[in-house]
Amino acid sequence: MQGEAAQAKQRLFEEVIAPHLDDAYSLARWLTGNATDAEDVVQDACLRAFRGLDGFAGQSSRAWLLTVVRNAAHTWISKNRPKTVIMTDDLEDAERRMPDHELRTATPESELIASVEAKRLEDAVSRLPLLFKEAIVMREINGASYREISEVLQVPIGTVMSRLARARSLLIRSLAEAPA
Amino acid sequence: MTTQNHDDIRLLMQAALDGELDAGGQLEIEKRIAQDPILAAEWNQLTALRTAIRRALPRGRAPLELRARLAAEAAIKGPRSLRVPSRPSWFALAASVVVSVGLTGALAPQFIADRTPSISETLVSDHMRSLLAAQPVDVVSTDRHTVKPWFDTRLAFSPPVVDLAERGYILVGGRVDVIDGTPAPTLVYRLRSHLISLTALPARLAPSISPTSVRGFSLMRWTGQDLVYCAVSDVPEEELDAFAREFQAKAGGKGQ
Repeated sequence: MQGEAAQAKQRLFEEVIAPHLDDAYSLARWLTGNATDAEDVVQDACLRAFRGLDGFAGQSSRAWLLTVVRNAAHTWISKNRPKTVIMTDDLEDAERRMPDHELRTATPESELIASVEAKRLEDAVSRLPLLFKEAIVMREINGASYREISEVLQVPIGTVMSRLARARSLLIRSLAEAPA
Repeated sequence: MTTQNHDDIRLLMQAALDGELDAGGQLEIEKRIAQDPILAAEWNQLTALRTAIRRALPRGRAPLELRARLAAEAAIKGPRSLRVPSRPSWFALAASVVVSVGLTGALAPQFIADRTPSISETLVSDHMRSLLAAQPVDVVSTDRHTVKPWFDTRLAFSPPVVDLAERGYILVGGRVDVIDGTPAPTLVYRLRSHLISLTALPARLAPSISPTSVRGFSLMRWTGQDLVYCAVSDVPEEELDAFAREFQAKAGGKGQ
């Protein structure tokens, strides 16, 4: 049987998934923290989509793919890394508290930030709380716009901005600390 | 300056850094940063962080095996091993991928993508392939009066062939690509040292083609009369945009 469902599946892959697979994989790689689990997460998300469980309705295809992969990654994290999940209340509190005092305390020179070792920066991003990490990864590594990020995270653009501000502030501060 | 005020500006600084402000907002925030040494120091840190991330943390590539497995799962005809994951067949597939990488080197990603390429990917692949060939065209001519009849004798439809030399786009010639199973006329123009492939397709294919950036090549499309035009090149997007406008203006004017 080569029904419409089969064709829809093939089109979904060719037009939505394939062009953005590198972005999807990168996001999963950062959220799960390793390559093997990232592959599983992306594959699970795509298989769900092939079965028609996450209807693609013609919105921005990258935002849609990042959404289903991010959801699959969160499911994976709550199963495998339950300690990294932050309660929403804590997070909102953290968002409200702008990092004013943090920036006034010891922060590294910008030359030092710009020339930081790749490994140290990677560690710093990995250690970010999940919801700040996903915002900064989508912005800086996937190159997503605020609108796309807001669509994926289902939060207003103002929240996207404050999460990015917080993520960047935490990164800058962690680069000021002595290397572990 | 109050803390509240500072916090708002910090949010705006993110938007400025991320290119999300309009021109007026951008100027305003730059003025504020210039007037305030604390903000200026923070701005320098933010731009340094941006530089560091761009340099040190490139976006990864999805493993070819993952791409191949998903392509196989999506294919109307093809292996159906994924529903009940069967390691051996994955490994066989992965092994064949590895072999093809070994054999074809730089062309491997194209080879893999060829399993079920979208039209946009095919257009980009055809352009890339033409760059690797001895000649990017089948008929070499800077004369549109040679290229147009060459297409007319071979294909059911052909695009207007316009002379854009005075705008800096030199006609190199034409070739026939096969897109979605149909022969498609492709014009090739040269801008400085870059080639631009311009393929004309039946308008019904327009919904399946989206502007895209693949492996450093941009694809831009527009429709005119009964055709959809797809331009592929490695020139910056705004230059490809300019080419599209020039071509449309000239093609429209000729009414050809």
